[in-house]
Amino acid sequence: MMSHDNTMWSSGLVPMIEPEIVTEIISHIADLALVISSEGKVIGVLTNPSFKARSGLSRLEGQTIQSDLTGPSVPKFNARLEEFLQTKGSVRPVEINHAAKGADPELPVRYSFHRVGTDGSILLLGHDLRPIAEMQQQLVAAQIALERDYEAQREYDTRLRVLMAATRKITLFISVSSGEIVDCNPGAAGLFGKGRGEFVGSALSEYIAVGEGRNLIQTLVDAASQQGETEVPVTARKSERSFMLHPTLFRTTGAQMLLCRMSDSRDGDVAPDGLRDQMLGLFENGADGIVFVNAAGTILSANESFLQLAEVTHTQAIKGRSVVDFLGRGNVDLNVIRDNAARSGSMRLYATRLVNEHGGEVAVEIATAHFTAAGEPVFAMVVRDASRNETMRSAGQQVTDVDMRSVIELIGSQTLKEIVAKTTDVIEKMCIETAVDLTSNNRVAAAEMLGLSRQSLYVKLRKYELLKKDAELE
Amino acid sequence: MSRQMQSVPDDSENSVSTLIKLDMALAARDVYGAPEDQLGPHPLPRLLAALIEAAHSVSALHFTRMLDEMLIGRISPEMIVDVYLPAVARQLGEDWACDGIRWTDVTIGCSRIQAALRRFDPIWQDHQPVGQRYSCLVVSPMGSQHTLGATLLASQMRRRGISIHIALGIDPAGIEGFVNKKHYNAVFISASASDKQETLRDLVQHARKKKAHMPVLIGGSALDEYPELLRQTGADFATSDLNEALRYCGILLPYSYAPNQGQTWQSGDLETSVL
Repeated sequence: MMSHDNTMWSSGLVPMIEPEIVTEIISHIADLALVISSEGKVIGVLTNPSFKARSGLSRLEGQTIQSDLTGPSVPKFNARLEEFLQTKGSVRPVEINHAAKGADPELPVRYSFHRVGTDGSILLLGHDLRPIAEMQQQLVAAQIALERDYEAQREYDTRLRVLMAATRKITLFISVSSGEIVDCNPGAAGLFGKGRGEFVGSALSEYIAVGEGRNLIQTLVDAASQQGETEVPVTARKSERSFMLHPTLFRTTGAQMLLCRMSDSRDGDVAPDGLRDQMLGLFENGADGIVFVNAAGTILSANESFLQLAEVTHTQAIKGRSVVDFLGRGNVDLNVIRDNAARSGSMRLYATRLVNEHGGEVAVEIATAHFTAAGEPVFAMVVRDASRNETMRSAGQQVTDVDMRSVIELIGSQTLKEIVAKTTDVIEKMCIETAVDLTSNNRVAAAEMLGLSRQSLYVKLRKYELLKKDAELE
Repeated sequence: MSRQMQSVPDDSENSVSTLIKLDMALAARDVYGAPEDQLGPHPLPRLLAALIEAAHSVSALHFTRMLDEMLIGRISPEMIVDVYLPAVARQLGEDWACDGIRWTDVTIGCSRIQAALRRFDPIWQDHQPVGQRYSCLVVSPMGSQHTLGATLLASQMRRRGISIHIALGIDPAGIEGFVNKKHYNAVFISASASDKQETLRDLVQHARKKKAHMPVLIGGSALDEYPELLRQTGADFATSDLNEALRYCGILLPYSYAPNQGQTWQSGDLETSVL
């Protein structure tokens, strides 16, 4: 056996082969052999007796081989032929397709190139690639079947995810063999002050105790194995809060798994005076927009008044979107509201603009409260239309500004260039004062709002003596 | 100096060589040190070459180990899916076109890339809101030689928060059935150079038979082969740039996915051609 690159064969061993025998050998070592000119014109066609050739291959004689190839195969063949003609050594075989003709489908063939004489004619030894192409089609079919199965699995996954997210009760899947949390709904991790990534995969016993000397998982399995609805009283290790676990035992892919639904021991005592219904009534019928967002700013729910302000037709169209989409200053507004509310529990009367679905803007005042619900931090924003107040307030601020008057007094005593420079200072000072005011003197947020670094903001506060004013106030 | 060179162990047996690990470490350092606007979605050349080699190596483990090492080396899943895997697929195609590798190597490589995409899916899922706003149908035509383009496209769209229904090897009646039964914002047809134009035209016509207003887009390597594909098939838009395609459909997505792993890319930064 010779390697592709090593064409040396000891001269004494080369047998003298008669021309008619050479033809027979060629017809047996290849499925299809073509003798072509250097331009690709077919001089002769030879096929293997066992090769189920399609009709009309012999008619190629006298035509160019390129005329029988598919579009993408022509440049590929020409490039390899050119390479073969320009190099003295061998070139790599080329995989090309003969075009479909009538009832005959495309014929994929791998051709190797060989010089056969001094007249420049070239022997192409072709190997039928149809068996490989058929295998390829089977592989593609298997791949498609796999993808379809996976698509079906994805659908079930999505349904489970939606069900878990919509379930108000804390729900956990626990592996019986390892005691690890395999999956949980979004509120579960937050309840124990963990991120989901950290929570899933850790042992349930790290967070919950069932009583001195008792094995948590075994207790849950025992309870689940009893007939009827059973519940197990447990205590959170960190907060020492009491819960009830409702375990269900099942088997999947050969392993035992526990579904644990968790409820607060105090459930049932909630809102004996009907507060829940009253709050719901306020949410549904309130004149001001109310929107609940999570820590990332994703809208969890919004009332009808907010939908009207945002000109959104349906609650479903707004859930899952970021509230940033509706705030005039986008992320800057969200950061200011979130940081202040998170720090002090609430933030009153934050003035900004609400951008509705069609790009229209309306001045609003937002009061925000921060609390934890179902183990997750939530920001409740009450959004009030402030377009009536805005005109009066902004006009008053601008016209009566002392600094602006002092600028006007400069006309006649200084050049326009100098007056413009002073005016810039006045506007800069006003903007900084407004930003500091809006952010309740949170300088990090104010710097972000103005697009300045903290250091630059401090330099400017010092320049306009605003730091000094603060100190006096304090 | 020469002693240091000699002390580098010969770890050609391992999935990722020391040199590539060094590349990754330097890239990670640059990523954390550089301002965001100077980052770009460029694959590390040595790493890409090793990944291409692993894609059609005898052992499938080689490829999965490479991906593990890349994640450990702080190359983010988004970077892998948006930059490295399309680059590997393109190179496999180019290597086959010049007979550098066999067709079966391409098939094996593509199925490994598809398996890798499935592996990353849960990461995107965990960060997606439950109620997705947009829904699209991604199809590859019946008789396609491979299905990687469609699955890669579907993966990238899912990560952007779009609900995707993927239908591979579909015929005109099949696409019509899906479109009539469900509501989609758009239909994306992933076409390769080996797909027949008549087949693609039939798919487009049946997709919009009863929903004329729904955009039908076509993309993929067929666009390189047939520059007139848009006119020939009657599709609404032809492109291999996902961002361009989404803009055409009016699917405007605020970028919300930013896992705390390696670098993150703004969606607009990625120029991919995987349709």
